[in-house]
Amino acid sequence: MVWEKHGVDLLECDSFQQLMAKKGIRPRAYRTHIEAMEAADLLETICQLGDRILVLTRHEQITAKRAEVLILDLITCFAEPIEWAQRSTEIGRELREYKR
Amino acid sequence: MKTLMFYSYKGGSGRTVAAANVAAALAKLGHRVAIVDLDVEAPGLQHVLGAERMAQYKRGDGIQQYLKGDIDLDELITEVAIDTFAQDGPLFRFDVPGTALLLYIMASPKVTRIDAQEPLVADRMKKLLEALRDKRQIDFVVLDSASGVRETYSISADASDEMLVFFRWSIQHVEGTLRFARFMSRLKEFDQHWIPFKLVACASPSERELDGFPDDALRERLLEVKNDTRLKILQTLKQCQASPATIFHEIPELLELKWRETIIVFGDTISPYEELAKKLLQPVV
Repeated sequence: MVWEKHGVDLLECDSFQQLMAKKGIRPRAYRTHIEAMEAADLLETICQLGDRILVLTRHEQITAKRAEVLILDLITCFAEPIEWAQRSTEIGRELREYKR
Repeated sequence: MKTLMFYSYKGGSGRTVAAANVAAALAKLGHRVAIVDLDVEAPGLQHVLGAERMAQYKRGDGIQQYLKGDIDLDELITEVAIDTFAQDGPLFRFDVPGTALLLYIMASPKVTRIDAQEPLVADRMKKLLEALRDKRQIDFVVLDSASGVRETYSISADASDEMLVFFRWSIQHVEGTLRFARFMSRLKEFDQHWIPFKLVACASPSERELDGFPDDALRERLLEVKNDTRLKILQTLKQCQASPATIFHEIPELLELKWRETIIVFGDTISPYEELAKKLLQPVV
């Protein structure tokens, strides 16, 4: 799996944020305070979506291949939350289709 | 020089009155202070400071024209800013120690749209602060900013060293302010533009005021809400431990002063605003 190539075992991570920390991925810095507020708000949602994918993966409710695609996209969203806001909305919509 | 942003998530918190009074209190304590009206869509500081009858105000130019590039820095300082303690200033009757100053930079009453994302605006704001520091030897800049998180919020937030978030004891204010505190906590968590901030409660009902309530059931309910709200705020602040400078000042006396839109810090007794001004002089924890 892609995250294994990056040296991180997805199933060993307690949270998406921990995964980001292990991979050394940080959100980009925004120019203004208001942009940063918007980004921080989106980042919280992105982390919640990431956590949900981790749970679904553990419970085998999502295929490993699909989880990989979604996590990789979320990593992009995490790094540039405002620029990729639309994609995180789409991922949220997709995850609502999976059982709790 | 320290730049303090006076902010409230909702309007009607007593923020502008507090900004004027705290600025005056800092001057009374001997500091050189500039107060800037950045509530550019609905300016009100002119009424608190009693400047609406002054010729400068009537001319109609303000910080907005400067930020847009219509007037230059010299014009702003000489034609828009008022030395409030000067002989023709609105507060001339008050004595302040030595070289203390309270310079008021007005906002224009004209409807003026400002694009806060425009680099010119940030650049001009930066130049204004530099001029206040270098040419007028200002110690404190008090920014009276607009409520809410809107376009012009960034003009104040990006220029500030510290933020005072005002709210009053109503469900809209408390919930909105807690939401804002959580936003700020996230900024710190995600390492983005975090600013130290303090929450300041205005217009909290005093025990005396609640005692005077004729309706027992309503009084009990108000007390219950007050205590619940206090608990909720304290719990939220505990959760926001990532923000070590988050301090909660409760100033219950402010209710009676809320609508008295005048400078009160020069009375015989020390006002709550002066107490707040003194707290601001203490280093951030």
